[in-house]
Amino acid sequence: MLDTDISTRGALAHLHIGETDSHALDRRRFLQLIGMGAGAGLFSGSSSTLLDMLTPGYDASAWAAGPIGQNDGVLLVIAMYGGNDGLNTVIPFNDGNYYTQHGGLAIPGSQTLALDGNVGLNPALTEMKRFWDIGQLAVVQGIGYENPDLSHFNSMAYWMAGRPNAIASSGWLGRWLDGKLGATKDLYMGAEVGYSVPLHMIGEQQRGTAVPPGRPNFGAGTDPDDLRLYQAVRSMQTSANGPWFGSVSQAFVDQLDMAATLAPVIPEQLPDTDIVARLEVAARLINANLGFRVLTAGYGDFDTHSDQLATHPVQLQELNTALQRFFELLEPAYANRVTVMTFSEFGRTSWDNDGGTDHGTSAPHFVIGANVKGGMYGLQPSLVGLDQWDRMPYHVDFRSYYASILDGWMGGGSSDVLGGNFENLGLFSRGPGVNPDGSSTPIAVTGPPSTFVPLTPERIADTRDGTGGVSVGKLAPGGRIRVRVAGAGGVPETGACAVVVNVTVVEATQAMFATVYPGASALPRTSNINGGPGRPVPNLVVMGVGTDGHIEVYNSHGNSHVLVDVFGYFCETAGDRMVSVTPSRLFDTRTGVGIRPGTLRHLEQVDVQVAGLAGVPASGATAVVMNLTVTQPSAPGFLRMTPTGQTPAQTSNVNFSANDTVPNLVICRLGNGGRITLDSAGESAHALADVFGYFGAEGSRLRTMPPERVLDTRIGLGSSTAPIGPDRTLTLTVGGRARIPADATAVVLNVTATNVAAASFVTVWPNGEAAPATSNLNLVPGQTIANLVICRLGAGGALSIGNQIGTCDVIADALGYFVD
Amino acid sequence: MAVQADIEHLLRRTEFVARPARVAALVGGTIAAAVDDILAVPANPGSVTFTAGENWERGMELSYYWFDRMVFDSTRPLQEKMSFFWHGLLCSEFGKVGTAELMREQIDTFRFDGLGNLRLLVKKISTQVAMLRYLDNNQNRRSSPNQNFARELMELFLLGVGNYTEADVEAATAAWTGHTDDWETDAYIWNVGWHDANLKTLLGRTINNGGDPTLHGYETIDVILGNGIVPVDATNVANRGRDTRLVAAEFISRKMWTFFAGTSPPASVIAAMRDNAITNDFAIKPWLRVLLTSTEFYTAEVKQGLVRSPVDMMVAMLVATGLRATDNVPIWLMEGMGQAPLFPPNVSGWKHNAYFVNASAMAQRASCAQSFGWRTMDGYWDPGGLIQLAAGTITRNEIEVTYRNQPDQLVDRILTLMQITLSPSSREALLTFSRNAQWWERNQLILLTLLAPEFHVA
Repeated sequence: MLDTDISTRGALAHLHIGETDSHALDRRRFLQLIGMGAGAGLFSGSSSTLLDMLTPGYDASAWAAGPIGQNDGVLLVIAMYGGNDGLNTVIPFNDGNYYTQHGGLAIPGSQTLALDGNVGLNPALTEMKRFWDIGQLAVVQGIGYENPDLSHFNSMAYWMAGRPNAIASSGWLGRWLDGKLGATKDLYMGAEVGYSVPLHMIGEQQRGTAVPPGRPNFGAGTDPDDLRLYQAVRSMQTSANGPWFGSVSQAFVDQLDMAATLAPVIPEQLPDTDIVARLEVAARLINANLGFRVLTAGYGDFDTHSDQLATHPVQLQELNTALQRFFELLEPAYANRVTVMTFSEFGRTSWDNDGGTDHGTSAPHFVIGANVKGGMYGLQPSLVGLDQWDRMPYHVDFRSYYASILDGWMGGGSSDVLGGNFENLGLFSRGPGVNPDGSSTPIAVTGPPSTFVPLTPERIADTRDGTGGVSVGKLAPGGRIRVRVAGAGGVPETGACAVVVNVTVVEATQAMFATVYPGASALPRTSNINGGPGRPVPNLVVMGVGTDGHIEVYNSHGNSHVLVDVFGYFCETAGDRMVSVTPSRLFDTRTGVGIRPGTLRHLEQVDVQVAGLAGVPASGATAVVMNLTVTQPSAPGFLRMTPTGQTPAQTSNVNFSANDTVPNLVICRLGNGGRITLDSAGESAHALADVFGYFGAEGSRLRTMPPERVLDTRIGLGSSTAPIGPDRTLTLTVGGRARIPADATAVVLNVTATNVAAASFVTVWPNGEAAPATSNLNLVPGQTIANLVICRLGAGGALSIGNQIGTCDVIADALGYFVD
Repeated sequence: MAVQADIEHLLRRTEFVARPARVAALVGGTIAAAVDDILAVPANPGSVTFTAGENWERGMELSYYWFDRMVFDSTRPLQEKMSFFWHGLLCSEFGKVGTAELMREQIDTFRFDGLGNLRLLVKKISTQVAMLRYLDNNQNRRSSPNQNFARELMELFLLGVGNYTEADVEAATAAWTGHTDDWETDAYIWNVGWHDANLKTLLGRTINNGGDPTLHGYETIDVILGNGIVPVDATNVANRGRDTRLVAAEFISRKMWTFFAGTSPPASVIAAMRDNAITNDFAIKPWLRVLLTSTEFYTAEVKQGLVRSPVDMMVAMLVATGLRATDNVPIWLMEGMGQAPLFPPNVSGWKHNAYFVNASAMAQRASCAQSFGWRTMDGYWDPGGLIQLAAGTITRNEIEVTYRNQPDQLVDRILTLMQITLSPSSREALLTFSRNAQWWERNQLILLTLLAPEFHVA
């Protein structure tokens, strides 16, 4: 079975294509494949190619799923089937002929999204305009070819083949795959997001994979009966009964592997609009970094012979929505590695036919991306003197358009792929992965298995006084601080893979969230702390340490102070492993379970026995993972946990206002006698705690990952689009999803509740077990609240998430997972 | 007397599946006798009657009808198999042709005449509206020639690339001007005003030399399959100066070999097939007979040399489950497998073997097998709990009670009912599954059998 954790350092080292050759196509291979000239590229007449199809050439050992290289470009190609009306897409609003010829279909200049003094975009294309405004949209006008064919079938075949007026047996992207892969098998380099592979993704030797816009079915199940079935299919694999028997049976095994790999990447719920769903899948395939370099998707119908006013704007609106979705989902680390381009088989006639347009010739197309050199390219074909059935001339051969992409973004080789030399239009300002300052955005990776070293709590950053060398003063909206954790608060200078820190937002001027992420990596689309005016809001964070020894904290809105307290770190050597237990209550001052009954008094120290209780063994446990909740305090204050016998430091775990019910996860070293000392600043607070795990010599190791959202009930990510509530317990599968392998034992999740309808509490527990009498989040209507959860994975690698009263939306960001 | 394994191989390749009754009927005689029996196709294989009003549904009706002919309704399924061979060689695509009735006309020509004479077959389809539209011959005018059909006639249909020159394409294009169609009524139209009646030279022979101009196009076929000569400036050096009819006979012989045998064509068989074609002036039945009776066709390499195409696989699944096409043919999965009837990917038809073997295609085959598995279970939860398969039925009670503690016997019972013999390794995998599975999971043995590799090789 394929290791779904494809982002490990080991895999990177093993699979990464060295920079020296990652941009080079194998020229000799090309000469063998296509350099024989046969411009028409006819497999049926070429016995050698036909023989390839007759001969089992399946190398079972050689297929690879690997992350892309640091400077590899990724291309998303969008096909607009049916022939898009270019004149109503990029509108020449100063050309009187346009208004004469396009008649009732013409769009007034005032309605267009003006790009310059002469042309404007169709009003639906707001996302294109956004990219134009930041200099990342190239508009290539007048693309076409000599002797244009007006048949959809023929012209699309020419475009996809990359060869006009020739019989198409292979496509330009397929031949690019040929050049990259040669005889190597790789299911994850090129894919059509669709049900079958279109011509442009079929090479002479290689072909792209078809990834349907929906979760894979056969092979994706994780129940024991599913696995027995798949195992039976796998065990029929043998090459003993002839070569094709071996190839077929191996392909069935590949199919199972592919389904298992893709199922976690593709959500069950996708947008209704087909092209929006396809581009969402494309973004997720890129984010998963399975190695995809080329993705294609198509939609239509742009064949607007009639009723164009009603249909064409809808098509462009769909494109716009799809692009918005794509770029919204695309992880920042890939933003400057991805280029999007459009194409269609032809444009349409400049004259309207009383409600529509007929098959035309040249048309403009778009190239979008962070490293695209925005601007106008090519030339708007003249409309002067065109009669009803005249077609527009072209100014850019579509092969020149392709060559510009291949040579500017995909590592070169256009003359081999296209069978000739075509002008590079110079559409890119920089190569893939390169930032304007010449640096490269790193691609985040999953940390190695690591073990826990608990520390005596210590504050390592405080923007109020500059502790830890951070600037004094509140973070501005969008501001960040870099917190050096290597060498701070007992964390070693080198070797710490991850830190356990409590991050507190103080004196926030408005509702905000803070995102914590590894240093020297891109800001993820996740959040850790939801704060606002009023009391300080803390949350525990388990975060990978960046290659620069830092973690960073981002402030979304308003101004706020940030404090960081460290409680321990993870390293590859000499630490403790975690055993995650079924959540159960350790103590509760309201009932006297595990502690003396009654509220905590100001500055009173109370020892709590941990070892031997709530699933923690009597000996051998070094630290405990628990959710500490304060309830019914009569005044503002904070609660602190210290290993018994240690002097409390200037730290805090839970901050509260009067009458709050506030939880926070705590990972605390066990002190004398396996105990923890609880103390409180603030009068009359009740406290309770639920244990989720402990650390000791045996158990699982942590692997941190780039923070990644795995659940958002607001948009149907990881679930249906519905809040959880009294009648709905959500099962969240995380094992085997995204970067989290199926054999993960526990997961580190930051769980956030929002759109809270009623005062209630949220409980997270292993799937398949009875709901425990514990809590993780305490809900207050109108508040957005987050808490870290470290929970054992139950049946099917899943967690159950329940909400007692009313409803709320739940968001979960994975920060890491535990493996044995 | 023939070896049973050879008869089974012959039937798998010619009739899709080695049905036990056919094996029993043929195993007593020689291979030659078996081949003659297989070739004894009915003169009238019938024709679909459309009941749907909607064009696309009619296309499905045509496909289902064709599948049922391949599976159950023909006494000699080679007739349908051969029609699919021509569909992949002289192809047209429903999407471009546009009308189901036109596809029916072309497919029926392959079905009725596919074992007749190549010369007549190609002439017949070349002026049918399906082909006129598919290769743009309906837009081929003296004033604006369209070479598409004329080129493919030589390049992809009859000769192969390199055996003619551009001048020959231009000459043939002129000969084919004037045939067009009515887009509204789908009727064939002869437009004499479009015809270029000027004298031309094709493959060294004079054509367009007066006479009935509607027959000028057919003359090109007569030259190619007659006294044409491969030009001395043709790019295929080895064939320069040869009679084009020899080149055509070899070209089609190789296509037939690839389709039925799967391996690289042996020169000896191709030569024998060519000679037979020339002797019988391209009569197809004796020509194919040479292939099917050749000793080369029965080597181990050939027996292991072909992957079941998606159509072959669909037929085999229908046979094994006893379902009819209208019960369960998920045609929408077939494009993803690489082959949907009526929808060849381009004018060069379908490739073979590796073309169909990849993970994406197998995902569609697995989905297809699942749908067959579920369909056979339709009656499973009814009181009778019946599963109907090719050779009979098994009840839920038998699966869940009778065989509760006999997992191995259950496997063999299901294989018997599906009329499948598995290799020892595949059978072992099913036995292991049956032993380890909970008893209520064991109905999945039907699905697993459909996913066995031997189900996907021909």
